[in-house]
Amino acid sequence: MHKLERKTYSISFAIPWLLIYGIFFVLPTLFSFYYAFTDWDLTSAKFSGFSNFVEMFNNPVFSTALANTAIFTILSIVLKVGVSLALAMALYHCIASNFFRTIFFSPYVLSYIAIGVLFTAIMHPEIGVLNKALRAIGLDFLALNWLIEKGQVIYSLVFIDVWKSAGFHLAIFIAALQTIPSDMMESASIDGAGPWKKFRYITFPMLASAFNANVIFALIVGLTKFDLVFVTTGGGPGYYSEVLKTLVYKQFAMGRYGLATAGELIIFVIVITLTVTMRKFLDKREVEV
Amino acid sequence: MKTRSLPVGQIVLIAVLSALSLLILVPFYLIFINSLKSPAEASELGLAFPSKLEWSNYSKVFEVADLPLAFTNSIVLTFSSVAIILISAAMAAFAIQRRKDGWSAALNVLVMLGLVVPPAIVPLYKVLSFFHLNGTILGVVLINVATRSPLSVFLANQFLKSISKEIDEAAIIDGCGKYKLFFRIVLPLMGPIMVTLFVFNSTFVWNDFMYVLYFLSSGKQMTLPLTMYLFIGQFGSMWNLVFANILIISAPLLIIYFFAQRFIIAGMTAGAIKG
Amino acid sequence: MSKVIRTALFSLSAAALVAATACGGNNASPSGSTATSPAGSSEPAGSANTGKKVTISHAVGGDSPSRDVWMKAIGEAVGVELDIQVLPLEQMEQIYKVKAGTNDLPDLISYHPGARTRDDLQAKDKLIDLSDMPIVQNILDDIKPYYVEQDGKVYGVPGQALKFGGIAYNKKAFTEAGVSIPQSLDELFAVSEKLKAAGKVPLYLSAKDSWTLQIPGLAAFSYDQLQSPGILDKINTNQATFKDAAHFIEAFDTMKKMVDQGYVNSDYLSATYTNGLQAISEGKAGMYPVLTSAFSTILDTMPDLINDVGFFPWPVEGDKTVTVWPPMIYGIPQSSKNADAVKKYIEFFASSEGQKIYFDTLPAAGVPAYKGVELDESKLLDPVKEMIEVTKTAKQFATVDFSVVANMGAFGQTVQEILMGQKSGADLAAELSDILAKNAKAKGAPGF
Repeated sequence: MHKLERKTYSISFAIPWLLIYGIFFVLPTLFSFYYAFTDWDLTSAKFSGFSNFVEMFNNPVFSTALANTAIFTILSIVLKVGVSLALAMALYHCIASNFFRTIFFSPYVLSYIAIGVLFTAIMHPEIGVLNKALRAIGLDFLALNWLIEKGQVIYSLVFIDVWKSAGFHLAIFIAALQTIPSDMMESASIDGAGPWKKFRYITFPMLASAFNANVIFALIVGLTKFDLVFVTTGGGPGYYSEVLKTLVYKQFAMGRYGLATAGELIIFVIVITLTVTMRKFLDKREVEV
Repeated sequence: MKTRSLPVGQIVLIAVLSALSLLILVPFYLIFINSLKSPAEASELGLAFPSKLEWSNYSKVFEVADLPLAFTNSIVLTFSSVAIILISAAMAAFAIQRRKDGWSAALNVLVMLGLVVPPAIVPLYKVLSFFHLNGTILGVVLINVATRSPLSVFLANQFLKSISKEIDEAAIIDGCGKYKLFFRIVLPLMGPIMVTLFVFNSTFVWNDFMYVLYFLSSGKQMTLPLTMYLFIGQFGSMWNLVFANILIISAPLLIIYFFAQRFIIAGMTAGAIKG
Repeated sequence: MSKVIRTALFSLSAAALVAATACGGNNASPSGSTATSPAGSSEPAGSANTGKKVTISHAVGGDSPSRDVWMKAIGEAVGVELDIQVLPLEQMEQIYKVKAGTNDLPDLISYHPGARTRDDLQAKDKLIDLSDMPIVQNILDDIKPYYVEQDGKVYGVPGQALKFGGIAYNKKAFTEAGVSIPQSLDELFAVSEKLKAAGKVPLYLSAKDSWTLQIPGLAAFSYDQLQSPGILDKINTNQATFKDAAHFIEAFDTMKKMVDQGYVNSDYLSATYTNGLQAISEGKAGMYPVLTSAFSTILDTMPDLINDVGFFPWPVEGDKTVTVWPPMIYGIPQSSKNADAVKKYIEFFASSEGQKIYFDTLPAAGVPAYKGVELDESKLLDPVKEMIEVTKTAKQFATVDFSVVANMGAFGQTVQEILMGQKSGADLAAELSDILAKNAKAKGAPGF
């Protein structure tokens, strides 16, 4: 059987993907990491040891960017996964689920440029719809300077990103929910299991791999967030919403390619460490459940 | 689905979901209604109905940028990228998920790397140039496939776990070859995830403008997001035109999504009947 | 139901197959693709000597509807087709640099003048020397150093008009408030007070587009150059720093004071450049720091209001200076296969005939960069007239961000911090000195 299996699941299935991916992604990426250790102007690269890393860590904005990235990542994981799981369960039990699913997913198709423009309009402190609505219902104290004030802007960005991508995570949960055989649910009902028990012992375990995937995606996306921040605030005002990726991009824009690559490598190490740790933790939990 | 017997619960659920939907619908309404206003009315950024519907805003947007050309380019770029991503990722996921050996472990690591590592623009440029692919749509298609596919492989891999190997075994015993097994039996069962991946990937590729900016080099290869980016740079204070532009560019994706929905539903019902 | 999916997937895989075969085809014959033939493809499709019109690929920064008009007119006059690729201004030079690395630049590029960009593009190795073109002699003497190297080489010639940095003001608002153009910073505050009393936003700032915040300091730096001659050379050899540029620093502190006194639009942190242009054109705001290229954008977007706008330089007591942004450079990459056609194009652009087409299409472009080009006085727009008036009396210095030895990055975000009270102008100067030193060192500039 083992031999037959190897023949059936032939590695040739992976070859088309492997070729494209290897040549146009893996190769150039590995290649680029060498430049993190050089002063690189695109034509010549002078070896400079760890000096790029030292300069990156000594950048006065680095700690701000790190802190903002951490806030953004943690909050966005909790909110994206929490909100989309709650929605998935609600939709699973709702007769109008197709209608609502369409609505909740639709923000995901907007480009970040569009979203940046849209929320600049909505969150405008004076004429934005958000503050107007809050004032209209007497919640003046909640009418904040969403995208402007320190201690608010990074949270506003989290909100916008959750608004956009909850539908993405929802779709993953729904795809997994579809694989739960309905007879399993029915027999549980016959056995007298209540909704919570069904969720705890049937639905949630069946959702475990989707849940893990969602957490990992939210983690990676959070740590490497760039487009939303870049188009909505550019890291500002001041450096209130600077994240690691925008900081690195600014080095690239100044023509410090080696320095920027070192920054990318730092982010990469952070992401890979946290992802592997998180995966180990989640996989262990999956087995336990 | 026996939930029909709980009408009160359904009503509450629908009420709550409707309230939440407003969070999504109001911004979309804001885009739509302001795209039909005069510049002065639109600059208030409000939700009020316009005093006069300015449908001409849409033709103005069309005048400024060569949208038909950009549309064609975006469609060609998106569909060829997504088609290659879907097929190659599904096949790769099949091999990776079903095999339990060193190969699949190594490929899994590669997939994870692709999720985590940023594409390196400059070396990528050199690779493209080596193959004489710089400045060609095909080059950008391949880059899209290379950079976007890990997510698809990963998700397809997760999904395959739920398709029992027993099905494969039964098919093999029936004398099915490996390719027939995959294309005729396993791939159709992957329907729901394939549609999901189709939507995700079209969104990515359609909205991307960085690769287009760096790797294409002709005005004739302009794509929609790039026209929007340039348009906003110049007409940013004319909210009516900006919103009209956003709608024009997002509409195809919304339509694709609504259409794809039906297939997802089809997959769902099929599963239910089988059960 | 699953039949539907199967059909869908089948058509999908068919599509993929078609795409894949198409790939093979393209690989075999790169000339079959719609792209402009990349450097290195076997035989150039558009060699210049055939009867067919040559197509020049041309990259430009930022969009503008009127540009197509004059470029096409000039192209027609010299018998070439243009394939214009519009790049966002902020990303333009990064893209050039990446493409220069693989000799993949278009036939004609326009880039910012100054040693920094020229070095970044490795002009010596990548661009054609144009010193034998007669039009080089016609470049205005003031800006010649930005085009003609010390060794006589010319890696490009002006491809636009001269623009200036200073303050755009709304004439109607000024009349309403009964004020005239301020001549010193004290007067700037006095004028602001009166504008405020008249219900106007005295000074509009658009911090959302943080580059616009850099303009006052860059405009004021020319006073530092006037009053401490040689300061720029000293900065470039590490004998002085921005900390010595008192007017530069004062400009940013002045902006902060204006904010504190309520002279700046309350939503300045969410306002964008296009918001600013609208406010100044409509007269909601009295003053707005800009580059004069703003007038072309106003003309494109709000043509009825252009003549309500005027221009004056950053006001400092005493002799006046104005900061000039030397025009973008037309450069021809050595990899271009159509260099002769491009030269013809540039030659005609710089001729009085070509310049006439240019300024007729873009009446708000600015001051001609070539000698002997007469502008039709009767056709000049009001802000352009005022700008030309200013340049007649004020001493001109080229902007420092084109003139520094290495890239010092965008510093608009730090100006945002100044406006929010977290840093001072002096802090910014220190920060810039630090960044410049690091980048100059990485580049190997002498003295650092």
